[in-house]
Amino acid sequence: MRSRRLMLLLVFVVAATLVLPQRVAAELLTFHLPASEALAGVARFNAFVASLGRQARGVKLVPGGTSFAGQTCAGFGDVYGLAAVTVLDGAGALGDIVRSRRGRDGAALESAFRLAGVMTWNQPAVLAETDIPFWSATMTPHGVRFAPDQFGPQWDAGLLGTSYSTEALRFRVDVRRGPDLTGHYRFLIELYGRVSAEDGAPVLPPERRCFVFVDLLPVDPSSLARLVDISVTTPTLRSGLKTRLAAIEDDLARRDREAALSALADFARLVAARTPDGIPPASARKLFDVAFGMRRDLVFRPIVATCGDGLRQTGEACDGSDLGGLDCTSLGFQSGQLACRADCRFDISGCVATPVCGNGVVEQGEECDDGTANSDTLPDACRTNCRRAFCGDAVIDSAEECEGRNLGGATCRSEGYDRGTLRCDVVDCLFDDSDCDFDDGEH
Amino acid sequence: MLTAVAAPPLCAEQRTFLLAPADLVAMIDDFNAAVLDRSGSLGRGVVAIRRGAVSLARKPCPSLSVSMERTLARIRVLDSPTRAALLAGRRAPNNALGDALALMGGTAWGPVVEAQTLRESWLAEDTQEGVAEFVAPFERIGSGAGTIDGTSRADTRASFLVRLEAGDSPAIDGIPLVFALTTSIPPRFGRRSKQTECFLVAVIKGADLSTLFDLLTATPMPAETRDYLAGQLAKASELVVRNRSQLAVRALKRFGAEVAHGWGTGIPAGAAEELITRTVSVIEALGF
Repeated sequence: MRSRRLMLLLVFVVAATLVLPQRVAAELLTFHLPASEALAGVARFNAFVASLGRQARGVKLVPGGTSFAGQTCAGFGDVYGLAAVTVLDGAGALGDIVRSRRGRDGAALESAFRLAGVMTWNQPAVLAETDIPFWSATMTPHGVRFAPDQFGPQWDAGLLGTSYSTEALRFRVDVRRGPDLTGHYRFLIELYGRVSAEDGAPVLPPERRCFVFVDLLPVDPSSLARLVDISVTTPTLRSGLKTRLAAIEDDLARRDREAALSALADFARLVAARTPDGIPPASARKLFDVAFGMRRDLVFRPIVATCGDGLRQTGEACDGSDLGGLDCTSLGFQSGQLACRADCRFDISGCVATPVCGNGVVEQGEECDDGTANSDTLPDACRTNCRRAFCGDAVIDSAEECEGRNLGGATCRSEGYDRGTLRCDVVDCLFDDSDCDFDDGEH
Repeated sequence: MLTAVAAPPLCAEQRTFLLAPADLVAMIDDFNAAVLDRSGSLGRGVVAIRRGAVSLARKPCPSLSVSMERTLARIRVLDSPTRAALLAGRRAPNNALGDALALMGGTAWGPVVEAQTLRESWLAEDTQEGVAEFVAPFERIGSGAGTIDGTSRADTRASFLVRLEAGDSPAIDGIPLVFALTTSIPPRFGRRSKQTECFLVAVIKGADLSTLFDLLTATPMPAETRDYLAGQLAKASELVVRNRSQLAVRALKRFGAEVAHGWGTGIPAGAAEELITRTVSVIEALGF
């Protein structure tokens, strides 16, 4: 009986080992996500979700992309400038983030991203930084969010278009699973896009959100060392390559970046010199891919901001008198004096806002603003151009008897005359009875 | 197994292209992504999402990476979008497809002069004018030998080579070629296997010495480095003409090693990376 139990336990352990996903021991890996790659993720996600068929019901074609589970993924980068990127810790986050009736949209997206095989990683991210001007990183309950430091619906500072190609987001996380067959890790990211406020429309600019995935190679020396182990079979060559990688790690430990770059070039030179006789071309290509990423990491310079030194750096909207060439108008205001606060964020108290008719706030140049109650058809209402009801607005208001040719059904007779033509005075919108007459000829 | 249609000597106007299974799998997804991205400008009704595939002018392109049972059965490299229109139409040419492929960047190129494959179970054929064709004989699909399916996205070994007459100044950053990829789903529930031919445009980078020389010319670097690298390429070209490919590869290895040496110092990092990657491809093509 006891031996049978032991046997069952053994079978269970073996089965669990085979069936359960292999958990990689805590491993911190660094990734670079170029802004251009984040934007390219939109098209890739669209192609993926369109290919799912019955596994993603309700996918619809919209101009420039798709609409699925309440999100429209189209126009990012050109129409909708990129205003925030959040690297999420897994598909499970979608259930909390996406709000919809009965949670259907969140569930549909979660299912699609699980099919896509997106990564899960342990919170929090160990490192998150960027070299995109005006942007910085903050931790959120479900990941790490990169966005402009000071963000507002009327400001375009930091809004990214398709021209951003080399600027990147860097993050270091504890991955919970190994890479895919190609050595990439697939991350779920949330893109938030917004139309430029500079378009001049006196309304809040449209915005859009889209969840996509990106495939990234880690850029750590340890990742390259693992790839060398897998792809180089000649012991002496493998040893030579790993010696160079060890030199890079030593250089990095000494914070000697130039020496690390030199050692990396030496590594690449050895790979090039031993392809194809020591390293198959396909393997060499993979080694180069990771080495190229490592170089980008070595030269990546997220400026560590020192607020108060008078120099505006990444993470700072401004510093002292250095406002980055911006003024109130470039932030979407109409006029005024922009200043910098002690914490290196803009002081906009001296800016005069560009009036946005319809926001419910009476701003400069507006006579009234009742928000959604603004109307061009109701008597006495604030008009949709934020002017008070006035004579000539085509609506007979309480202080008016008529408007243009609209006499409200009144005639000379209804006003007590016998005949004639009743008119409306264009100045005060009161009846003009100068052409009304009585039968006896008296007026 | 190596099968070759023809192998004339390399001329300056000719360009060589290599295709790995990973390229072919990615090609469909990338094209679908580009089509959806441009769906607003391709014309009314040209793009659709139907039965789990993006279709262009009524020709669907089902993804290989999503469906694990779908395999690649035939690869055709076409000389123009017009050829695609002719092949896709049943009774009359599917001109809407030809126009759409042209809008997606597909251009006309000279005739294919060589097609080879190293892929097990695959054969190169030239049965049709303006078409280089690779086929996996029907009965072998699904047997495992040489099968190209979603799992092949990690297989970056060059398996197919196409050499064609390019124009006077082919772009060094790649040439948009028109492809027709036939994918197949195995028979089930008594039904026959189902095949779908997808017509697409993919930008393929040249893997030949002429392209490498053009790339070198376009890359800023110190004169001394340029002279050395140009000398290695000239030497490799001469050795190829003399049919000494192994020696040409040695010259290219020296070329690649020198570029790596100047990576980010004498040669701009991005340009050096492109030169290194292309050198590996040329070495691979010479070993084909």
